[in-house]
Amino acid sequence: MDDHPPSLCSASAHDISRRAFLSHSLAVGSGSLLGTTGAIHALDEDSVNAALKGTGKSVILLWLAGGPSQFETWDPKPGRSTGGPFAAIPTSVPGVHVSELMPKMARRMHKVTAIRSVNSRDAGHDTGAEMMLRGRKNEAALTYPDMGSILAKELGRADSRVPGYVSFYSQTEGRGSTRATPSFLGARYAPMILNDGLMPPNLARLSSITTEDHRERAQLRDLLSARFASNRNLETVRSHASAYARVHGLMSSESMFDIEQEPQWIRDRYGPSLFGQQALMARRMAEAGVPFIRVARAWWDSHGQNFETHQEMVPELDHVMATLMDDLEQRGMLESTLVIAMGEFGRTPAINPSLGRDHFAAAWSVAMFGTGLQQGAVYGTTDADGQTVTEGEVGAGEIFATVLAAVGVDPEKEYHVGSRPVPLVNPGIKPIRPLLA
Amino acid sequence: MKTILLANLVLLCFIGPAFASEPWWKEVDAASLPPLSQPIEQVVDQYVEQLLRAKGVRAAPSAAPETLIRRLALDLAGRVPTPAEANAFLQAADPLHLIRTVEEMIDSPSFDRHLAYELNWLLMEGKSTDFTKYLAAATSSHQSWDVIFGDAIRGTTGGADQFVRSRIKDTDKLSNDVSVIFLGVNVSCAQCHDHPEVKTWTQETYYGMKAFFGRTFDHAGFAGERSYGEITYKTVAGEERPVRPHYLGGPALVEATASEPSAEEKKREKALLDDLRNRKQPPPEPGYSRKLRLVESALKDREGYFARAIVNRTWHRLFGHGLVMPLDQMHGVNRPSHPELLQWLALRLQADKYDLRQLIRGLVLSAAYQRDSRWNGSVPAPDLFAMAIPRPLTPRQYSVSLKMASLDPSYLGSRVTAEDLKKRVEGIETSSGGLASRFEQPGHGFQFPVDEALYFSNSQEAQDQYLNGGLANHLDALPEASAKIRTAYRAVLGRDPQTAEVADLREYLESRSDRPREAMRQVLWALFTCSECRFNH
Amino acid sequence: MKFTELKRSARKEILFSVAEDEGGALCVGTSEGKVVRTDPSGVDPDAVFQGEAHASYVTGLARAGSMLISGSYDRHLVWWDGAGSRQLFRKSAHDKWIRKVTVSPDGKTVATVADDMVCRLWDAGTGTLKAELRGHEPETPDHYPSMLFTCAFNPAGDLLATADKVGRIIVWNAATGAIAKSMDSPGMYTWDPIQRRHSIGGVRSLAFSPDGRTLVAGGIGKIGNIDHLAGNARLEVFDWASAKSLAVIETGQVKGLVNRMAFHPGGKWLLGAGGDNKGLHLLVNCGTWKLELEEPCAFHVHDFVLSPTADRYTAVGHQGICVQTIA
Repeated sequence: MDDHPPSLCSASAHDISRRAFLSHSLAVGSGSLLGTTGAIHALDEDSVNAALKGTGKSVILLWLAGGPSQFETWDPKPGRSTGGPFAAIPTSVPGVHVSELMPKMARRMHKVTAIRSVNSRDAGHDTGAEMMLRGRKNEAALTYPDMGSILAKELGRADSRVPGYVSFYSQTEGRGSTRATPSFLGARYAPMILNDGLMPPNLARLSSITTEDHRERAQLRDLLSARFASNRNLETVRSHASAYARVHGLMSSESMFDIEQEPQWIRDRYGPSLFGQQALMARRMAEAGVPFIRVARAWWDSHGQNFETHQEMVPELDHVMATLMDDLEQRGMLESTLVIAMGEFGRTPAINPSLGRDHFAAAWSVAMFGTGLQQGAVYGTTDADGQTVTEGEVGAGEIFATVLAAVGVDPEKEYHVGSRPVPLVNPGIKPIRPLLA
Repeated sequence: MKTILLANLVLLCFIGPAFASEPWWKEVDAASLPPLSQPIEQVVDQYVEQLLRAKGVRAAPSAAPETLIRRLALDLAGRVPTPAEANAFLQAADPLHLIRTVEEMIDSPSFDRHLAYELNWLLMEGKSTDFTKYLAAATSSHQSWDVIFGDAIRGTTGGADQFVRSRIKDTDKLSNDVSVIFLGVNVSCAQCHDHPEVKTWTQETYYGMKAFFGRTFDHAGFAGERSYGEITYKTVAGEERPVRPHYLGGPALVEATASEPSAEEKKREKALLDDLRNRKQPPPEPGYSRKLRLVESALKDREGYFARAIVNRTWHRLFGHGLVMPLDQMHGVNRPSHPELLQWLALRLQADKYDLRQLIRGLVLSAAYQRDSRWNGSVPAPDLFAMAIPRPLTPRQYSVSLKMASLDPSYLGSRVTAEDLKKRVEGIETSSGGLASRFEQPGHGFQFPVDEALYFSNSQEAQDQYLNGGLANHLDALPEASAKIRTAYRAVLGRDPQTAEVADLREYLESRSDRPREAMRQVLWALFTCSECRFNH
Repeated sequence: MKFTELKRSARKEILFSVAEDEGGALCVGTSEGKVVRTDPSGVDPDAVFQGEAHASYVTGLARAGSMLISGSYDRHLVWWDGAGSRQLFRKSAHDKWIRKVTVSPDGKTVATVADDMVCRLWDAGTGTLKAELRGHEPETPDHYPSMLFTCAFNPAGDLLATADKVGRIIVWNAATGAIAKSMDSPGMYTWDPIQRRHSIGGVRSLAFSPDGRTLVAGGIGKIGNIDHLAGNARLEVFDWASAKSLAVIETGQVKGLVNRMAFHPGGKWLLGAGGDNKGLHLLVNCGTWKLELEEPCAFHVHDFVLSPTADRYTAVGHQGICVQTIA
């Protein structure tokens, strides 16, 4: 244990104050007020993940809230009483068929990794979403961080000027209950949430304050805070400085949120739907180095008119996924980006009187493409009517571990909550090895 | 497969120090403890000093008076001091003025409101429900902690039922929350397997606690309880076992056997409940209540979990670190930093009939509480309490303090009558809730979210609330830069600026002499958002 | 007035369409892609029409003389010999799901509508394409695929009405293919632009009054949670020539879609049936345009045939057949 007799007015505090403050003429305005002062620089550093180097990898989660039907997407059962009215079509992978609603992804199937054997055991919206987003159930005493927060931490760069985790969730279904939580990882890894529009709140400078005033007041604030922090060497105190230190970086990423900066022809490719526009935003963010982006597309919960719902929404998903894949590929980003399309569960083989399908977690599908994955791989099987998994059963934990492993994060890595080690996935849970590149 | 998973879960839980056969509190010699009549602050300092000496650590000196009054006001009134409170404290020559100031603050309605807020976070995760109203009434009528506990579990008085009702759909959560909040122990570890550290805590301990709530049911917005019904659990080996209520691994509760009602009786019960439901009436009180037996067990318990838990939480709130950490692991194997002190404080709280005011008064009067928060170099271990640990303000503390600071100083100034002052303070304290929601409640290992920094940097609301208010206008009217700076420092940070600070800010203001009004607002903004303002230090 | 259930038989498939053959026997189109002659009492065994079955749900079935014409989500039309219960010929008819098949009162023309948003008119005897009626937008204003759910001839057979998902109704001159009138029933479009960006309503059924002056559209009203068909059944009555809305009728007791409607031959009442997870049927007084009856019924009804004397109707739908009397 160090025993430093407390010196209440340290030398470093003096260093920060007057000399540093005055050595850069305030009147100059455009010059950096404090930027060259070493002590201030130390505070700019994000100590939380200073040790981590960014991997340059990003994950885009297309979150299909409400639970889409595996029959009408990745695991069709044409001609069976449970199969519904749609036909299955061949894909670019010989022998593999998908629903006729997905012609574009069918042509790109050789780049897709599909898992048809998910048994996630929880067919409640809230609990199922929690299961899929955290890879396991919370304990009464411990809330696990979600995929986005973990990946923001594991994939993020210390010097990042962009947020670590952005979540688009314009629709209401499942929004409250699947509120992303960083839990014990702390607010640093909480998502920037975009529920209305494509631009986050409080990112743009108010027009009533000049650039100069905005910058100078931040520098004044840093000066006052640095004095306070100089002899209070605590993580929480430093995190206050680092939150403010990120403001200007984030504000400079404002253009990242500006979809107008994309050429019109690219915007047209993604199509006019909000989902498409948000997927394009997600690509922009991945390009700018945001480690995790969730784009939620809700109302798959087709208890009534399952087929018409999928007739309406699967072509949109097909188009958006295919466009995202092409766009990422053309930019050379497929090697660094992982895209996941999943909801909290699938839908029942049985067709209810409203021509709907109900919640079903026992045998459903998840699809991914991009970095770290075997391309054109279809994993696991279900029986002829899609009632049960017949081969390769996996749960939420395995999917979670596979995502981590695909972007180079060791699923067995441990965090510590107090004295308690908490691995990223529950013990015994492994990634699906045959799907990893 | 399942067995393997459960076996692995054991590894997930704590790997702690070697298991001692007796809980640590059995090793504390009760006869050697100071008499309970001794002032709390003296006993605190006696034990804290003892450990510091043993470790060879010299504690930080006392905080400056202006720092101390700010700290006291934040902890006792939930906000920065009013100018009157600060002046009275700083100008008094009477050596007893600290005690008087503390007692006046504890007797003020601000204290009640702040305590209600803190307890609402502890019990209800800060959610605004009818329980909030219950707590407001309970704190203003100086209810003791044991009564609040009983009301929350019994859940019959207005609003108090929300504690159970809001958790009723998940009995696991309900029983675990009760253990964590009121007893300071998290037994959920033993849900799937026997506790790895406390060998006497088995799966039966967990389900024994749950059994106290096994007869509680949801009745259309009311929490009902039956006087019959048993629960069972599945052992690691997959065996189904019935379980009786056990209080934290103690012997099974002795109770009369409740026979299952006949089909006819069940039918009658259902008819009665349906009728009550239709009339939106609560279900009848059970003839025999297991929930109340839990209250009884906790209060009679010789092991002392109940008293230690709230002592530790209160200590944690005021010192920024508990005598035992984590707060929900106060079991026999997890030794506190100061075992005798915790035992004594718990006994004293019982002797004070669970009056939290006495406890809080004693803690803040200790030298340990009043230390300076500055420390050069790497800080000493937090459980030595050698320095005051700077604590982030709660959302309420920050929003009320900002609101108070941004008003024209004359609004709470010396010309306002005491009666008006009281009303105005109440107005500020009760009207800042909306803005409090902009900030996050600090928890263990708290880190500031960037949203807060963006909010202050770029939102019109923050601009309007804090920079265009009475203080800013008041400063505009002051003729001279130094006076402006001094007034702003006093209002926002509660102290006079140092010479160097005045010089720095003067220079900034002079460089902006083309737009003095805007320049002063940037200074104000920097003061409102700087770490000194954001922390209780 | 009141409905009384006369008989009911359970089926394992979903029955989407129904017609009577020349002899008055009941024929149904099933979720297994078949056309089946069946006895509503469930006593006589089914006779499955022989030939290549449809590859998907048989959602349209109508009789022209001795022939039956079926249409399916598989985009094909099949002509069947009613008496011989065998396939005559099949045609690839649309690019997307066929939603409805109907035959003109003179039995000479078959009209079909599909999600390719085209109404096609066919020679009932030869299957030759006579006309294509294009006028419904392929996309909703919100850029999602639209659906063309239903069509109906007027009693004189010179007009044909079609209606789609967004509530657009077009009355066509059946001979020339010209648009005689178009009108909207916007209440049938359950789109929510902000929270849901999804809709499951639309005009599901149409019926001309016996005098040909009034056109009624059936569907569903506003749905709060569009996960379910949890909206009131909704009808809108038009004086089609002026495109004027005469009345909007909504149920209060039962919920769901109105999938099929038929007028009393004398124009006294209008019968409608459909449902959500349960079935519904209703009777509207054509003098007042008020609901006379709205009740749950045996199952979610997809189609029905009304007896010539209008004293009973036979409904088919979710795993059942049911005969109801109207008295």
